[in-house]
Amino acid sequence: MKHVALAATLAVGGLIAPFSAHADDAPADGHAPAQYLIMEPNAEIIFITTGGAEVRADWTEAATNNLRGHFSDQISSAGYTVTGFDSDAQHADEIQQLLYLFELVSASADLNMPHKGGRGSNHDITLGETASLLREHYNADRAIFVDHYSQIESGGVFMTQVLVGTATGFTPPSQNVRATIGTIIDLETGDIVERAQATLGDARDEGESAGIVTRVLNNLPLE
Amino acid sequence: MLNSLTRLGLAAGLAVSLAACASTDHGVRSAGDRPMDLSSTEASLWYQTDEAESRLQASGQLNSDPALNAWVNARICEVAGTFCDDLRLYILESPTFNASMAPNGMAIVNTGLLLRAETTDELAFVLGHEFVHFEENHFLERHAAMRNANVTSTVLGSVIGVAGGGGLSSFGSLLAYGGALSFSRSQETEADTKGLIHATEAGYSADAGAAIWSNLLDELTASDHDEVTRRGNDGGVFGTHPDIDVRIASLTAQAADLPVHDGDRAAYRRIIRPFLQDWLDMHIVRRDHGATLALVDRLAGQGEDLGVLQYARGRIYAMRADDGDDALALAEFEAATRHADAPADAWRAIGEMRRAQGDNPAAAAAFQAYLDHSPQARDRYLIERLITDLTGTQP
Amino acid sequence: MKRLLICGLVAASLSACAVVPVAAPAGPFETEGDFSVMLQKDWSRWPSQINPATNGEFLTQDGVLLNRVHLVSIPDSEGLVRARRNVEMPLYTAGSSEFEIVEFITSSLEMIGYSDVEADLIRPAEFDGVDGLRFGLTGIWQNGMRVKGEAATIAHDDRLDLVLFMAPELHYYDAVAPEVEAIMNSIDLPD
Repeated sequence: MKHVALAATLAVGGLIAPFSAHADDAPADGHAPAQYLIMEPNAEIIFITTGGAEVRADWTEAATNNLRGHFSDQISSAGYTVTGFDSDAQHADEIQQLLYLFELVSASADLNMPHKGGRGSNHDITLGETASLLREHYNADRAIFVDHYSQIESGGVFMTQVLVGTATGFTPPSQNVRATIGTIIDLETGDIVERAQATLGDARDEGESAGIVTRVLNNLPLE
Repeated sequence: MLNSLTRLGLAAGLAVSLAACASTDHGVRSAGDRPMDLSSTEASLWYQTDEAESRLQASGQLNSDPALNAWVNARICEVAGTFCDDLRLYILESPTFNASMAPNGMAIVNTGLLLRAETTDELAFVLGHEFVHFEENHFLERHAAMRNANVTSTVLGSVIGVAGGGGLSSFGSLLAYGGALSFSRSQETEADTKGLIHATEAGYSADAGAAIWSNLLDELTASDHDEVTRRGNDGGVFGTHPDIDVRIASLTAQAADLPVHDGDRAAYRRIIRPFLQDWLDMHIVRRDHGATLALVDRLAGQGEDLGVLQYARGRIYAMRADDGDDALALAEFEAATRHADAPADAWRAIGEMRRAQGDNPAAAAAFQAYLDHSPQARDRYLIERLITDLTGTQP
Repeated sequence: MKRLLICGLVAASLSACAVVPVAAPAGPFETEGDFSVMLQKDWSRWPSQINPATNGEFLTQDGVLLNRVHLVSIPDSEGLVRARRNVEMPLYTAGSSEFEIVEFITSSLEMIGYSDVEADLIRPAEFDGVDGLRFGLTGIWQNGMRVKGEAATIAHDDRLDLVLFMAPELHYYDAVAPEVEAIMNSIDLPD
């Protein structure tokens, strides 16, 4: 159970770091704090068993709810006004297109673009001025998009890996993956203001989800 | 001392025993069923098909014609009865002969199926067949069976990569998964038998099941590609289906005890007529000239839509480019233009062929006729330039 | 799309791969094909070896999902899309008419994740003194994003030289189109 124990230790470790820097970031220059739009988290949790892999509906739903709630609570606690994106509403076609564009932007933001200076340099990409539609619709200055992806192995898979390792001397690598990325978009320009990620942590668990959000927000300066 | 292979076998055996306990029997569903246990495999499949459905809605691959959608949906409701409200129709612009009804109610009907059916009875049979897969939870049963059988590949990590994941969030991957997850022969036989009953109970002719399979078999046999022909002869369009000729024999025997009447080909053609050229174009660009010619010949046998169909036949010859095909193509294009339904593209095709022959006046006249028939042509600038080059005058 | 995102993260960490994106500085640019172009500004270049779906190389400003200029010379009887087992791919045939070239491009795009691809404003053009073709493109990327494009083709010496620009309709097409126009106008063919 070494892998599981290690993952759990690291995940719990993630809970330790408090989200505190952002209270310090609260505007001191007199202008009103930004209003944040919390987009519907784009989460997916895959369960890998000896019989195959599948998206777990219950885990994905729990992770989505936990992340949405904790981003909202923690940003709100830091003194900012928070609005939730209404994913059930019938939005204008251009807003839907904007959400599709964010998928492409998010998938591109961490690419190594040599002509811009290599890794991390592609955070200058943008959603463009159409992002202002969200500003107008939700009366918000900034939007936070959240992407989360986990692959979680079953105990059976772990046991089988051990058995295969014992039998052949080669232990198949763990396929556990945990990644959460937060991206702040300026809704006037569409530009990426900040983008940060946290690995590890179990977003299904309410406590761990709070820790994940704290770690992401520690690297996402609010204003 | 055990050697490594033996130990690996034992390990795999233990893994199989760990995985083999999941039941594959999901019984028959009731109208309005939804998985209540979100931790279940069924809920997982619903989640994935829900995601695939939203991707499908955005994919740009759907036929959105309201009249066609309403008409096909009405046929689904006829065979699905009380399950009508559980099914949501999507007409997929794809030349492949296929349809499906996913566990969450996403019902996909390919335009390749609509093009190949000759009567509403034939369409109703296929819809009945797919509805049985839905009603009997065949998809869930196959998924469970595959999970139970999928041990080695998972253990060795060849299926699930760190970055690749194992789930199905995209429409494309769902289709790929659907392809891998072929229904069993017994499920297909059950779907044929019960599907025909659903169709006949809705008032459709019982000989339609054998008819649509016979026509498909002719087309597959005429394919230029050995692989396609072989599929037609030993496995049907889906991997583990019974042989098509076996299915035809079974359906013919079953139809002997069920009501049979002549299907109304003309009425069905009226429904698909507005889309005929686009759907044929999708076939032609696949370059399976033998199969597409067989399809076009069969459609033309009805004696209608000859402008569109002769133009299509001309395109196939022009693309095949065997000895003598140029002359055959030109003859078909010219024949097409004598029918009222000839596409404007037929004149452009004549212009292309005459230009290649060096017959500049005939080419220019054909291009001009093309512009006359299609004043808003997207290639108008190019055609005008060609006419200028061919005649030395502005059109 | 979540998986795409994770793939992006993994790709970002694969700097040790043998073939990686490289900078293509402003100035003359020799393509992997038989023509060259002039770049007005710096680009990143995705060599053909790391493009799994298509032949030829990409230039991009912000990532190939957001804008890509596809540069390739396609020989007779070969495709824009890489060959796959048991899948019929559109092939370029020397001597194809202008209409067949347009269809070759649109049907190729429909093999690699675009749908509902249509060409418009198909018009004759001249590149380095050789007759060619220009046309616009519209379509939908596989996640639902509407895209636009522009193509420049020159059929000569039994091959098709192609500069193909594709980008999301929102923001990215207009942002890069002027630079792409300059690239197309600078196509330099071998003597």
